[in-house]
Amino acid sequence: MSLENDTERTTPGALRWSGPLLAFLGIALICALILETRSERSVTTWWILNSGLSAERVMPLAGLGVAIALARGRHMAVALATFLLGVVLGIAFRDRYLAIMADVPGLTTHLFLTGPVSALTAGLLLILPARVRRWILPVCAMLIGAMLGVATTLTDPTLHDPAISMIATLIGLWILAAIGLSGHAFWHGWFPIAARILGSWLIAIGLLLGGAAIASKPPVLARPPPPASLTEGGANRFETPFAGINRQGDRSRNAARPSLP
Amino acid sequence: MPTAVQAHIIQSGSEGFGSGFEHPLTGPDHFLAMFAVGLWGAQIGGRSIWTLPVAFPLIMVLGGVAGIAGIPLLGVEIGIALSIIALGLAIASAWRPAEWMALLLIAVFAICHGYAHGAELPNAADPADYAIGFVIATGLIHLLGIGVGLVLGKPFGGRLSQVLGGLIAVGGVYFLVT
Repeated sequence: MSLENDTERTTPGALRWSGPLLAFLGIALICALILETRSERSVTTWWILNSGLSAERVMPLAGLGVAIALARGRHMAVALATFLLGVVLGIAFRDRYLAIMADVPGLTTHLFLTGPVSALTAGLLLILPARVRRWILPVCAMLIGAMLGVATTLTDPTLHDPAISMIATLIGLWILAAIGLSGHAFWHGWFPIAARILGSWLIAIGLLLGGAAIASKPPVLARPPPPASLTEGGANRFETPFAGINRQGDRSRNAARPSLP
Repeated sequence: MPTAVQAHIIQSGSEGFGSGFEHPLTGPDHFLAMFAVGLWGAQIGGRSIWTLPVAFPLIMVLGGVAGIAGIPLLGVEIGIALSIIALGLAIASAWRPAEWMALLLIAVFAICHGYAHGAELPNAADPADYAIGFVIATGLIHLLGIGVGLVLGKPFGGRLSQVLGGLIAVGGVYFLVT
């Protein structure tokens, strides 16, 4: 039976509100961080708001969360486990990934395509048929986790603080759990259609980001101004600060003046 | 080149998510085309309700990447204006073609729209946020079109949708001639 036609998606009462509760607590925490005055913000807070919660990082995780919401309970648990494994692998094998991607032009300024790869993976996961999605969900979760691990270490402002990696993982798990549990508990028949539309958006975002990174045109240098003429001064000659005062030898302006007796 | 459609190409130096999000909403030519895609999908019914809005952004990025790469493509702005006319006429006449034909038509127009936006993307201060905002806004306009199409599809035998389609086609003519 297709997962998407499963009408017996009931969640026990106590667990029913766990997803929305998680979402509420997380959003409240983020609001508290935003309301901190700028002078009070630590480097970690700054990283959370500007990198950890950036749209490029959150969108693929939201897509994976929706895919988890479309899956059954045991698939959800496996996906979360492989996501965690992916984060660890991404951090551990970051340098190998960077070495593989080093020859692709323009990637150093785009976090080595971690965002586009994540978005494409999450998007493909959502538009595939349910029976295929069920089996590739763990692999995709691992890949998205690995990209998160790589991106986290690349954007870590402290360079070595393990708290940054820990926070990035917690943010990822929070997004997956909040969306996955909420989707499970409040299932509607139109979810699969909405998931496919979201998937197409994620693929479009991934391709646009990847395209912007790889296929961007080289910067065009502005043409230098034409060299100034030595005789006339050209377009760049100095202007006289006051019209009435001029150099004695400037015939172009003195010619019309009557000479003093 | 039609001058009104030139407003579709945004100026350089645009910024992140907000700029990308507001671009489809403030460009009337793009807005009308996206809205018409959703409206037409709802009018055709069945799988087309979601296949057209799903296919449009996927094909649009092909044009977008061509625009980013600077591959020359002639008649993009005219194609955008024609897309509005064609979609408006399809809705006005309640044309229900085979799904593959509707997707083919959508694909041609999507490439024109994607190209125009792809050409602009590298100039954005933050291409990542710009692309995300832009795609989400485009998708929301599709959803608006679907919603309006589903609401207007019932009363008066769907005549209201057809009238709306006619108005969209008139808008396309305006973009073409001005």
